[in-house]
Amino acid sequence: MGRTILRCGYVGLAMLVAMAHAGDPSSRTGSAYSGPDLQQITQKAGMIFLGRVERVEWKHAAGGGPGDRVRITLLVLDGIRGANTGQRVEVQEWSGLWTPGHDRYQPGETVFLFLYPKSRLGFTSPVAGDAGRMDISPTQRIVLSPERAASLFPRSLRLQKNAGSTQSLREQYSSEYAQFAQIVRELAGVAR
Amino acid sequence: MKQFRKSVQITAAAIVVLLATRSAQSGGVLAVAGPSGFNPSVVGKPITWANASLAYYTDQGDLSPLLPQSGANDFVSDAFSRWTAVPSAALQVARAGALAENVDGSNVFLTGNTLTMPADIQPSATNRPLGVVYDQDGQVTDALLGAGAGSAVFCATNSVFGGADSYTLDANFAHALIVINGNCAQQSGDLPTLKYRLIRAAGRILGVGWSQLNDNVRTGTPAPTSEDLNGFPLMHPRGPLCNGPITECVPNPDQLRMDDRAAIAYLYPAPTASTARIHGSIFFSDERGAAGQPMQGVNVVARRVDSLTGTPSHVFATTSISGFRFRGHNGNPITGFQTAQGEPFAKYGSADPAWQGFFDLSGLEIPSGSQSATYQITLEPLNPLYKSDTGLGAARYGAVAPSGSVAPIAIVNLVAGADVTRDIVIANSARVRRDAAEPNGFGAPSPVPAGGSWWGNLGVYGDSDFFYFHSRPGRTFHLRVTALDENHVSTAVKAQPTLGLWERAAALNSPPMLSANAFNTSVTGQTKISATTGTETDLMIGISDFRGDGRPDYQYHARLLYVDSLAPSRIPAGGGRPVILQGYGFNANTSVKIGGQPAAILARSTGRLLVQSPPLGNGSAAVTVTDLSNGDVATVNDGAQYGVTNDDQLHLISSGNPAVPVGADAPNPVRVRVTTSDGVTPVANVNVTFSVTPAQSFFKACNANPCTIATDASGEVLAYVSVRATGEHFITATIANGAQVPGTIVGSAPASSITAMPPAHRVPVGATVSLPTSVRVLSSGSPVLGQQVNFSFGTSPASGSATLAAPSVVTNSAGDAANTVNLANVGSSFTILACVSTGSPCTAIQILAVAPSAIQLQPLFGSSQILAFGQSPAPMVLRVQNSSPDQPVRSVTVSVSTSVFARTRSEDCNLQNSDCHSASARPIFTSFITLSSDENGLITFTPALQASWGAVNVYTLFSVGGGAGQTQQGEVQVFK
Repeated sequence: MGRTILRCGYVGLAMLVAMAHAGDPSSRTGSAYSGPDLQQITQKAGMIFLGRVERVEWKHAAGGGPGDRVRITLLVLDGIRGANTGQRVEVQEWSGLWTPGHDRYQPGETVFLFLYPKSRLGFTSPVAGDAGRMDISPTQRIVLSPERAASLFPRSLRLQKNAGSTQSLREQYSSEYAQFAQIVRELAGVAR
Repeated sequence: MKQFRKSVQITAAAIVVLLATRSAQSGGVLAVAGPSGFNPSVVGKPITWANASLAYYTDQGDLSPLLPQSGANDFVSDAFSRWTAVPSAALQVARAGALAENVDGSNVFLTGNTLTMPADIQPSATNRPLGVVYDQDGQVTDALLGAGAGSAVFCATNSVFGGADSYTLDANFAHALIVINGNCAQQSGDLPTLKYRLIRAAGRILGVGWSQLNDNVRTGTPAPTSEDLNGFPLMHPRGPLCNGPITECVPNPDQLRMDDRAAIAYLYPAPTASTARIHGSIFFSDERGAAGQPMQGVNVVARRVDSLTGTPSHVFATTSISGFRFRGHNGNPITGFQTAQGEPFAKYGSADPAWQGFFDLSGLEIPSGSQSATYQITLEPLNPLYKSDTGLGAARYGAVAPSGSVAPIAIVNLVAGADVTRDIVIANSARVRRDAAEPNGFGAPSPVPAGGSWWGNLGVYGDSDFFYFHSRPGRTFHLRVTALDENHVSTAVKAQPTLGLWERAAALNSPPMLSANAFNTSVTGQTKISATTGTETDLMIGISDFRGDGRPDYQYHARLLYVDSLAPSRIPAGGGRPVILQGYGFNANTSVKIGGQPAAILARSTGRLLVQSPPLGNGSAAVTVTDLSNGDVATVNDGAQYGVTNDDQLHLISSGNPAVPVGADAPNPVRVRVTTSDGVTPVANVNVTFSVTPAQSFFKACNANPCTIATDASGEVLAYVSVRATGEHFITATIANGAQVPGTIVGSAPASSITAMPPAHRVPVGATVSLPTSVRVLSSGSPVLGQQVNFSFGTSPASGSATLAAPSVVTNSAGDAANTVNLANVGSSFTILACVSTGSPCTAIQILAVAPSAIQLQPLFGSSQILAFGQSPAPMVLRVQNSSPDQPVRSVTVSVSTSVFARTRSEDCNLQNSDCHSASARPIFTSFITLSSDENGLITFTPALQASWGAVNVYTLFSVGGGAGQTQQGEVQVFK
């Protein structure tokens, strides 16, 4: 039991280092267990942008009755892939993801989204669930929990231009939004 | 153990225990019925499956090669059994059969713009309450979550998804759907992790909400122990992030923890159970230390105390979030109270205050072999990272940090079936202090406090604060509101200030013209709204919590940065004079530019800035006030008017004169007035340039042609022409924007002429004074030297006396013969004749006695001065004149009284603690003198300032009587 506990990757920085060697998610691509890293998330995303939620509309009465989708309108504050800055985009989620009383988006909130390419039904959602949606802190920073930082930024994730910022995120769990966006841009192969 | 006992409050359960026939339950709740969309009788009730029974139907297909249909069915059944096996819960979940099809990518498609799925898995399929889809190839997952979502790469998040999608008016779930991704069940090593996620999904289907217990397993602080892991609930909002099979991170991941067991038992309680319950409410303390407002959003944790070691267990523990049955989002006057679809925000959760601080710790397990147990209750904040669909209770709209703290509370001797009521009043919590602006609701806003910087609170549930201020056109302003905690530290875990802007006259509860969502700036806890004004109007600001919440610890600081006006409204071209900017929100970080040029700040307060106007030429210039700390720029378009602006107008008031002998002065001035574009408002201190042709004539004020004279306080200029040529004279008055007015005068050259200069003198009735008077004798335009002029009375005053100093006077080289008329208590007007010694020509000199009631004071210059400390005031100049026909009156006694007031500086206005209005000042110096108007009716007075006074207002009252226009006030403001 004790050994099992010691292998878990959520007990602080020391444990994170150990985890990075023992259980680097990027080395387990396709695993049923681990979350994808930022590179994988970026690769799989059809749309990447910072947006402010302007409107949330149900195609049926919330929480009941026949219906199938929730339409979220966002103003793109910083478009990186599949969305242009200043553009308004409509995202449609399958309503089954919306638990009654637990709205996934609130008008007014600002979120950084990695969205799957639209499905053949027109639906999308954040890549890898929580991992593909990042809230911006009140101080305009991307803030990650330690384990999420370790998952998104494994040591195997090497960048040419933003290595310093990546290390900062991996070790300090937060960065200015602009620095984070630069990392994503590099991974997405998008020039500023 | 000993120390523990000292540090806790101990409640003997035996004192308050209520032995229940069955144990009530507790735990996380997914959703609670609210007042809209549910029958009134169930408001506040957690949503559950009716009759504690759920029948589910499974896909006809296989989940994966590893889990063909039958194996998958067993797998699902096992997951649900973890919930149904809880002894203290009475819940039945059973497979009732198969769905009518194999659900896969081929039967989940679009028809037109409508999602088509098999009928028996749609929300309307209430005869198949729960459908379980085996998405063998991930195509259904791809279709519903997005292209690529069904890949094995995303099993960590997409292996099981779905949930309840329909419920009844009686607060029962009506339908739910679970999709299991077969790509996540490819190897036997995948199954424990998949099972863990399926149990969590099953919990949600059953109505169990997320729970925060042993959160250090997620945060790593402090490092989790094996106890933490063994007590870490399966229904934690995020679960552990695991880089291997779940079994490597969490022991027994398919086994419910006590917190999970308590949660399911709360929703589906067994008729008899061997658990105990502690419930109550969390309260703020009121002024007397008694229970005040209920406190929502506190994570109440109960840990069983080891009877041997006295250590609170991290395994046998459960939680309840206070106010979990109360509404979490009520809307507010700014964002409204309904969604875009017209559904109330307050659809879920009760509005009954009795639930607002309610917690329910049930399912408290008694150790086997023991008759009783002791539980320790602690209060914890919720992790603000858990929100939205990972939110806990009402905190899904943003966690709120508890106010104050309490020592751990021990509840002893809990026996099976015990039901203990334990309310908790947090003694050191914030207390409601009604802020000074209250009540300031939508229909009765308060004025923005002086200085535009103030503290307030949203102290009670649903509180919103409204303020108004008068706005003028062409201004850009900014309002920043920062949420503060009870220690006045900015925070994002108290109020979420949402801002709205209306016209004050807006209809009650109408939507705002402009709004700002909470925390839209880079400053912690701060929300900002900016706007540019249109027409002149009163604007109203609204401040609400985003959720419509309000509690004693919801403090805020607001600051409005707005420039209202400049004084004086007109700055002389070239600047260099102090001007006052009146507005809101100025501070030490404020800088000012006028016309793009820096304007040095000479003195400042929150509502006023004294700045040195930079050197600019005629025209309008923008005023910008920048807060260097945050970059906000408040502007006034064309806010500063220098000299003459393009729209200023020049009006000719009068210029009529009789023919004027060459060599004499015209008896009447050319009188013009400069106004703004409205044609009425006078423009003072701008230059009017007079010119006359023939060029040898000139203007007496300058002894030159052309001649430039500044307008007085009434915007007027008087210019007398000294005629030096015969024939028609063309006079032009011009201002800098090119506006001009013409006038004419005729110069004559009679062989002999005599002209009084001036032709009339005005004195007050009853005056006793010696009046110098003069006539000029000319011959064909040239002065006559040595000509005797005889003076005599044409008429005599009706009372009093008038005598001439000399009956005859000989002219000097200028042709002038000066004499003096001595008046003694003269009671009426009279005339003096002056004739050359030959008897002709003659001229009349009028001595006009003006009734006291007709005497008025007209300020000309210096009546309103703004100075920085150390600067000297300019003279105040007033003209004493008769009311009609508006001519100067000499020898009038004017009383001049001066009072000096120390000026209080307006500081930030604290609505909590201080008076927002400046205290009235008492004069620190007074003086009184009298002055007499000179031959032009002018009096001149310069206030004397003393260095020791500092910042003062000097008020000078000039008076010739008590009637209209007979008193005038001058003001000198000295800033320091």
